Amino acid sequence: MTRSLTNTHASEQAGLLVVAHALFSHWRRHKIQAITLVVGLASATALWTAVQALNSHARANYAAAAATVEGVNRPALVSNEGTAFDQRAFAALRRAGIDVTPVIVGRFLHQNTVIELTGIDPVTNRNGTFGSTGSVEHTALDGQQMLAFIQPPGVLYASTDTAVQLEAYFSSQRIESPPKVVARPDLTNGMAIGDVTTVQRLMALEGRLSKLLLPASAPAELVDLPSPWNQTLRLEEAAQQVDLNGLTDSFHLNLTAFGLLCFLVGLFIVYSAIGLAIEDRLSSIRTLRICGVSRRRLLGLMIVEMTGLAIIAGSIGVVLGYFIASLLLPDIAASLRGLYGARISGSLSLDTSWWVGGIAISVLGVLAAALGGFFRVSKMSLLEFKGTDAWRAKQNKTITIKATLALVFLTLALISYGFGQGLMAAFGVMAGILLAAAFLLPLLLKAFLAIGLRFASTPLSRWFWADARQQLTGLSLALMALMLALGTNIGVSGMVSGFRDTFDAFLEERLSADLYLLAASKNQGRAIAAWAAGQSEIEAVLPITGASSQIGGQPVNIAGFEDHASYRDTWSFLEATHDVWDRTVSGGSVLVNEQLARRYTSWVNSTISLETAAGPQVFTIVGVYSDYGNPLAEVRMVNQSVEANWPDATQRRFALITSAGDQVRAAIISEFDLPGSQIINQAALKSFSRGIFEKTFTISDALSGLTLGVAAIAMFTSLLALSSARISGVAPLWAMGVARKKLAFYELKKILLLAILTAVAAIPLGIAITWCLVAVVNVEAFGWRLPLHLFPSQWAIIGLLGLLSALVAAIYPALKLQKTPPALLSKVFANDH
Amino acid sequence: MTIKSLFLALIASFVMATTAVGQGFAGLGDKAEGFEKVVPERAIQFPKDFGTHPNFRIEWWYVTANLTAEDGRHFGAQWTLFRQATQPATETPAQNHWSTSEFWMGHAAVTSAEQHFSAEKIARGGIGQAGAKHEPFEAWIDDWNFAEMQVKTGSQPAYQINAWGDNFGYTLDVVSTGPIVLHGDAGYSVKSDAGQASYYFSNPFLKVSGTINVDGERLQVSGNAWLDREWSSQPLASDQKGWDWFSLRFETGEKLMLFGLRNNSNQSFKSGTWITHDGQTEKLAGPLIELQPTRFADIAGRRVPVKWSVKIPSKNIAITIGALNDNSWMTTSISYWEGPVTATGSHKAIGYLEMTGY
Amino acid sequence: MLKINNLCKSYSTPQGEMDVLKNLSLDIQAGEKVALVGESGCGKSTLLHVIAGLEPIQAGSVKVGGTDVAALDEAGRAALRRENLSLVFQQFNLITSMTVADNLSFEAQLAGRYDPDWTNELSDRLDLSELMHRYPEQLSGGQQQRLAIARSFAAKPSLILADEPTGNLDEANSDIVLDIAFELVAQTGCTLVLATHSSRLAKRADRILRLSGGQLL
Repeated sequence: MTRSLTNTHASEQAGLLVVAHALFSHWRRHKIQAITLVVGLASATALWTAVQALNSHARANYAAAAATVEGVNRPALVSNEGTAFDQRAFAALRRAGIDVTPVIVGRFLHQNTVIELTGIDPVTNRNGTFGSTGSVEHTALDGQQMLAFIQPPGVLYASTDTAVQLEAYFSSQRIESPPKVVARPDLTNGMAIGDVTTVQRLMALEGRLSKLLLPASAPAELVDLPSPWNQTLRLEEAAQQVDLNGLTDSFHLNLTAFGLLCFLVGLFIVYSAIGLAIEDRLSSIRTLRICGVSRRRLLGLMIVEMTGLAIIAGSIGVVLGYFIASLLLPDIAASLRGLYGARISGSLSLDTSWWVGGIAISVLGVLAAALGGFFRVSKMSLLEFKGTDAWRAKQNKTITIKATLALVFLTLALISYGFGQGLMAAFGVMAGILLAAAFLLPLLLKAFLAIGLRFASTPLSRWFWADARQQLTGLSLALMALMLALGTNIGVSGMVSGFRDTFDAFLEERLSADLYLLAASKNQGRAIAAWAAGQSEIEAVLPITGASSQIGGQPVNIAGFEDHASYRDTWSFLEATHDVWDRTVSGGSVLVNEQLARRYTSWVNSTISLETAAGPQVFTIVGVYSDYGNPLAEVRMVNQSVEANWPDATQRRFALITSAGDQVRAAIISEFDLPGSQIINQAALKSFSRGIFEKTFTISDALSGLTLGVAAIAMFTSLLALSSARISGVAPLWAMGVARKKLAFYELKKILLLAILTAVAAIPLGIAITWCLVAVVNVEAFGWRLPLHLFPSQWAIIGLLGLLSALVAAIYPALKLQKTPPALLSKVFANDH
Repeated sequence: MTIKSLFLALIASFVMATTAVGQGFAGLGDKAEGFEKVVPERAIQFPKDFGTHPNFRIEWWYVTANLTAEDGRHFGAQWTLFRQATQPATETPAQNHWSTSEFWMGHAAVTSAEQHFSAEKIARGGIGQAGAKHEPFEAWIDDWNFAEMQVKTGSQPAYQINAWGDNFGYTLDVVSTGPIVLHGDAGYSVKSDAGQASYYFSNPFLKVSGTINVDGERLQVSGNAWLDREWSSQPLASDQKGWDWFSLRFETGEKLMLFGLRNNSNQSFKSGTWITHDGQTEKLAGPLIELQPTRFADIAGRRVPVKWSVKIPSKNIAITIGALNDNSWMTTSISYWEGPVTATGSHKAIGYLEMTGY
Repeated sequence: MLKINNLCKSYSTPQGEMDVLKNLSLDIQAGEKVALVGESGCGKSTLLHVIAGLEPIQAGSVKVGGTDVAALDEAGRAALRRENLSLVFQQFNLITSMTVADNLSFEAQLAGRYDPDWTNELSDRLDLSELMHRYPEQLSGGQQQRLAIARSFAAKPSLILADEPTGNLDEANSDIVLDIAFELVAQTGCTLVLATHSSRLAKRADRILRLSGGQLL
């Protein structure tokens, strides 16, 4: 190459094209390097774009979905008894200026399945959302559909399965002029929606309504009901969605953490790829300079070249990222559908802002990465002796610089941890730890390799360790990228799995019974309890009483429970006396949640004073339990204590222990006309919650894999760029009688060793990231701390994946070395032919 | 579901489940199978005909008022209630039920020289959310009311009218000072050469006092109002696309109602009623009326005439009618122009103009 | 020791086959010091590479100590280099990742003939003792070539192939290096084939072979 460039007729006045041709011809001669550079850059941009796309799409859909949920969870007016009431209330309230819309809910049992019919008035239900158990969004009906919906025999919209059940029910019951059943896949199973008249007719509820929905925006407490309705109706606040918020926030957190990771890994990859591309051309660039090309012209051309490359690779990356995002989108759409029961747009549009953003990050990254190279080119000595490379001096210098940077980042992380506040500071801590660890890696690896060298005895093993140390210089950026990818993978999956375990355990504890129900009134509660006591398939009916009290003027929730094995077996405590259950059951002793214990620093064996109907009462704490996501202080005691101290305690809540959850649920719904939303099958709830988690994690996993893939590309690019230099490195050994095959094998072993060392170093980094997520980020984001769980098997899997990606990256360069023609190797020694 | 699609369903497709697109403005040209036909020589009955006509497809209660505030500013106020049926009532409707074929729509507006506010309400019949009855008279939708006062101040009936919307509202006390006026042939008002017609009567002798709220400002107002009652089953011919309707009160005490129904070839079917100060009427046949737009304005993307030349040679009328506010556009589901006007020329008058189908 | 018969060697170039060595025959006895001279590009290096089994040949035979190099597979050729011969190059070709000490003993250990006393003696005689913990990049050109020579002799090869060993050195250094090298050859009794374009240097050999146009003159 040098020879051909020397022949190039270039002078100070040489045409730009000639110089450009000489400079750019490098890529034609090194097609693989060009391809790997573009692939590396494109995949980094792709990952960045994909995460951005998913994040913005998810956020946009959250907003839409949250709006839908708000529409569904509107405050409502219900009868004091919780039963259906006279529909004249509707017109009376409308004429009093209250913007209500009617809902009639009826339930029937068909082949052991409860089907809930919801009747609405589409004329006054203007925001188009309604529902009771789940949430349903019915899209625009055209004029004919609207008339068909209203006019007899009417239309029922139901999920595909429920539609079939409805048809069967109508024909088996010989219902006269049954409504037309239309399947709508977006509806929740087990419910159907029709006009208020259709549902009233089918359920023989003519003239009755279940509730009157108020506008979500109206200040419900200000609704002034006209007589006599102020006597018979009461306000029911919009349903609380506490769990949903926690889930969506964790989803956000996942994506944000990944956004950060991708940015960092991408930066390293771009830096390493560009650095090597410039390094490789230093000699030809020197030749051009010797031939009289000015420094300015050369640098200008290189900037144009790098920008061009960045635009090409960035564009490919944006398109690639778009495809990655659209592949993952169904999962996101599905998890959002799970979260909200609402329809989320499953299609993605390629935004102009992504183009601009993706290409901009590619160009900026390339130029930032090339800055060092530009600097070297501009400071380059024209007479540099191309003899023995002073690699050690250079390596010591860069490792020292990197270690210093590591110290700086660590200090920044500590400052951020000590003095920063809010989520940004928390992410600052995480970024600081990541960068510090990455920049410390070369020093650690060098130290370890020096130890290895010390203990190596055979010449080849000594060469192996010594050479690995020498290669650190060229590979350190790729190894740093690999460690970041591995560390964040370990960290994020540790957090996610820990969250999942904690959540599972929490659900297990809180939903230890099989069915939970909320009766409409105390009387109905008694009736249900009495009925349930006579049912053979119900093992136990456990009332859960509730009251509000105060500790020193601050509110505290009182929850009562019935002594039962299901509590004793499943509840775990942060701290408890050995006889915690016996003492609680005998009264006078109570359990408190972590929030209360922390707030009042009242742990086991201390006492608290609670306001009761008879004045302050002192209770002894015998157990402290964790209570994730609950912002309130809570005290648990046996029901008898609750009823004795707070006579007006609510007694509408029950836990049922049964092995036939679905049948019992259905029976209670039809027997007591209890809304489906008031009786929850915990198995269904648990699997629902877990399903959402799994879908969220699928995305995390996919992004993890992709990140590792990009790290592998970085490694591959680095190795390939180094491979020509490797020939002169291994040629002396070959001349001394080490076969190429053996040399190739050693090369592979060396990369694997470095990857293993990197993976091992990534484990403490991963733990640090997990800690950062659960103890710093989570605290800032949610206000409570998750326990730090460690998952060694996960580390092993992620570490193996990392090794696998390093192996995949190293195989081709090693094979290439093994197949190097002897002529090419012996050329290293040639003075002439 | 948008409110718009609902209206298209309720009004445009009207009765015909099989007719995809209604004919004439707002489907008013659709055929009226099953509904009672409008025929001549059916005597208008009071007070019964103030109430609903379930066997007819459409009817409305319409009040327009020209008002002046204490500071001299002019306002217009509109209160309208429409009843539409998709099927004729086959039996006496039960009380307190959700009708599946009767729908109500209310429109309210306040117009000043600078602003125009409008609002809309919709409801199903039968349940009592909206309706009308004649004894004592009451028409309502939600908390918008047009009701006869139980305690009368004189021998003539008195009413209270109220409505509200975003940033506006009004409560008007209305007293009748003259007789009810029948249009056409004793209330049989022909709308096309093909014989489409409606029953139509008015009370143009209404004195108004009350308050209006505009943009948070509360104003005492007084003035005059005009009540229209009209019902039909097919008031428009299928090729009629809209109308221009005028109600004018001359300074001399006479009143004038005239309308022109435009067909697809922009031919106008005109008719009018000349009302003397004591309520005597004279039917004005089309050929007697010259109706010519003289200025157009671009409103809501349409070209709407906002100045008209009206000539009735037989009455020596040659006037120019102009809008108080060119932009009196009702941004309701079915949109149209409705606002106060003044007339100058041979005679001076104030009144209301309604223009549909633009 | 070294017997070459009718050796033909050519390279493939874009312009077609280019003959480098044409029908070359040669016989060198054990312990003989032979200088190979000729202009640049006459094929001196290629001949040394062929003898060492670094490059394949098209025709003829090359026998080192009775073993036909051309008949060996890659592993065999590697073993031949490891056990029988040693190369000294103009570019030194030290292992830059390892210290002087490691470089010095590397070849001997690889050949399984590592002798610490002999290695120490070599480092003393070649003035490397003080430099044992340095890396090649910290040595001068003369020091590097002395190390390369010491490395070769440390392995006690029966045949040393030296390709312009002093090409990168000034005259003074070159003389010092050569004096020691010839001393060591004499002491160990190994065979030396020395490719050089310097007639001054060639004169120190027992026999001078002149290579021109791929043939011995």
